[in-house]
Amino acid sequence: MKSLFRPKGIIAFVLIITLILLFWWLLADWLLKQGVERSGSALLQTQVELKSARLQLSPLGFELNGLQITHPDNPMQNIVSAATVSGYLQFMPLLMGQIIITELKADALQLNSPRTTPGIIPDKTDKESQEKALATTEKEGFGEQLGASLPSVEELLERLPITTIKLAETFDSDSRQAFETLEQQINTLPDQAILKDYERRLKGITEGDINSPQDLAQRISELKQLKTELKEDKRTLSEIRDNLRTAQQQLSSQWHALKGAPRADLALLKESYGLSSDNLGNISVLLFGDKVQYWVTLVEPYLKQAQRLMPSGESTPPPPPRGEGRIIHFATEKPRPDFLIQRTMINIELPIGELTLTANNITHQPSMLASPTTVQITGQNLKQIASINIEGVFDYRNREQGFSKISGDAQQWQLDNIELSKSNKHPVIISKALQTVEGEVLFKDETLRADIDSRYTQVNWTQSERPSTLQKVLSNIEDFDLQVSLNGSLTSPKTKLRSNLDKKLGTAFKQQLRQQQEILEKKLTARLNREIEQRAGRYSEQLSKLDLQQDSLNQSLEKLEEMLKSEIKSGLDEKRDELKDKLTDKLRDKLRF
Amino acid sequence: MLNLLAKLLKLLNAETAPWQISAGFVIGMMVGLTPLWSLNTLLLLLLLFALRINLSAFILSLTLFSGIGYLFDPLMESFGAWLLANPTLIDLWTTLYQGDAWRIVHYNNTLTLGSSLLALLLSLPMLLIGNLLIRNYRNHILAWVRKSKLTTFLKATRFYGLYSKLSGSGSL
Repeated sequence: MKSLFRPKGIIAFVLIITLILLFWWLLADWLLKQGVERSGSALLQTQVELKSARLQLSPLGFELNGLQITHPDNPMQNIVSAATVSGYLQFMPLLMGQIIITELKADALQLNSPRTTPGIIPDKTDKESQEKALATTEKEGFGEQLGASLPSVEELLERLPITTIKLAETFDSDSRQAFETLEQQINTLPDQAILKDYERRLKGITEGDINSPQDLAQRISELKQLKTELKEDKRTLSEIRDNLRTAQQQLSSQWHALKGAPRADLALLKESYGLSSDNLGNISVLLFGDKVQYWVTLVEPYLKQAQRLMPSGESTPPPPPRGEGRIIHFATEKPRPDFLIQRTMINIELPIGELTLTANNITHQPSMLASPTTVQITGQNLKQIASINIEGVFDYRNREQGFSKISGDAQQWQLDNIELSKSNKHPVIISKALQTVEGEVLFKDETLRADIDSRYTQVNWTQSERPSTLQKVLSNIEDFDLQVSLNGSLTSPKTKLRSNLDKKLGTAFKQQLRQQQEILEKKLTARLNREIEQRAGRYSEQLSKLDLQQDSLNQSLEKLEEMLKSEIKSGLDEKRDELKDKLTDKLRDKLRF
Repeated sequence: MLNLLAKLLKLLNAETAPWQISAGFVIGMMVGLTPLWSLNTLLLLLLLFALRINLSAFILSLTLFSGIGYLFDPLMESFGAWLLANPTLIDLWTTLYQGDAWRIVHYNNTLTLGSSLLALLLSLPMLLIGNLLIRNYRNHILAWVRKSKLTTFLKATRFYGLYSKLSGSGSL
């Protein structure tokens, strides 16, 4: 009897497994590259590329070369790129389906680096594009106001949604359409010739002798036909008259709205451009608004990506892909998430020099860890900054009370040629200054709160050949501070700026600005009123034309009503009586015999 | 299809012991129903190669149950999730979770647990029923099949040629 065991089978098994492992090892680098590119692109919703990838067994680790992550808003730019990313993995957790990276290093990491070939970005939804377009419009509203001090009327009309212009355009198109429609309808109405024809036909029916009952029947039939036609024309006439009345009412109400619009527009313009007397002194908004907006715009894509990676509040996880299942964790002394980077060290290359980023406990399952995710960014002896220190804590171990907190400072930041206002005639430029920044950013309960204090010392301002009042006043200011507060959603917070610059600027500049404001207000009012005056003559002309049309319609209607009421009935009754008498006489004559 | 049928008939008529065929069928079912890339699969394959289990029965069963496994994947996943979330079993799962060996076999994966338990539950009845069916077939049906008119007809077809080629013996 044969043995239960098959020794050759064991050898075959070992051989097959060895072959599979060998085959896998040969393809491992390619598989790793594909895996990182595919899963990275899916997670970040933008193209993730690698030049090459290498897997090593002892110690278990990997090396990714030439990492490029396409900027979600610009295919010719990388949001992040790195020359090398390497890491070491724990073997046992890998067998349990968990990826635990003990150390991750990234060298020569760059932000916003250019690409040689365009990256692939998935199509964005209409909503996202609209939001972006709106944000762009809002951002444009901030700046370029201090050159000639205030924007021109035409610039304001282009930038803001002016109701007067819109209403005027609507009024134009609506009145044109109403007139065209009415004209078409009026053309279908019976003209004078048709009305005369009706009269002629009516006379033919009602006048002259009726010779026989057949003749009478014929006339009754013709009369019925005529009545039907008259009623139809009357109905059409009434309809058109009603339409005309509606059009008149509509145009009249539009005209009233148009006349009242300039006042509202002027208020909006004042509010939007901070030209109201309350905001007149807030020069810091006008000077630094663009710069703050620029920084917000710069960090926005990173914040969006960070938001995508943050643990979501969904209580029920989505169903796993077919054939995979979900790993369920239970209480243990040393809990371990499915993915964890225990320690990260990244060298970031920026124009100002190299920054070092260290981060601990990066995971998508923070509740499984005893410590929160921490990040520290430091930079010493940089080109223009004495030092940078940023510390961040991302604590989402308790989902309801989760928060992100970043605090930091930059000391002795040398500023060169910072253009605060881009006017051609009178630009406002800080030629040299030293800046010290301290700030704290907190993101909690879906709300971003940030307070950043900047102090500017040893400030030198660039002067034009013919300096403006503002330039003259600024030239005496050697130091000032600026407080920026952000509050709202992560990607589009509301910005508030405060500065002691306003006090320092004194009254001279404010007076000049007030004068300019008055001139601008007058110009605006004149420009908007011109829009209305252009239409006023045409409107009254159109109105009188409509009145004439209505009179004409009323006359025609009256005429038709008269025909229907009086002549038809009386004329035919008369003829019928005549015929009756005639027939009675005839009958009487015959009976005499 | 003909090839597959010929293989099945060859297998049933061969001198291989019934338990070898039914064990191959059961292991094929277990591998087919559970996730492929796991330590469990490796252990089952080792068992398949190390014991005198019929490989053809394994391949046939694997083909059949891989399809069934794909169809019932969501149900088995839900079954596993229900088991892992069951309050009466939490203590057991927590105890197992403390040992690395259990976590390496992915007992805490919803699909692995659901499908493995289902395969285990089905394995013993499948083994016994398979054994019984093969014995009965060989004792009662095989002789009748060999004498039947259908067999005479089949012997003249292309299918028989294929079967003869595979079995080597040439008799149905």
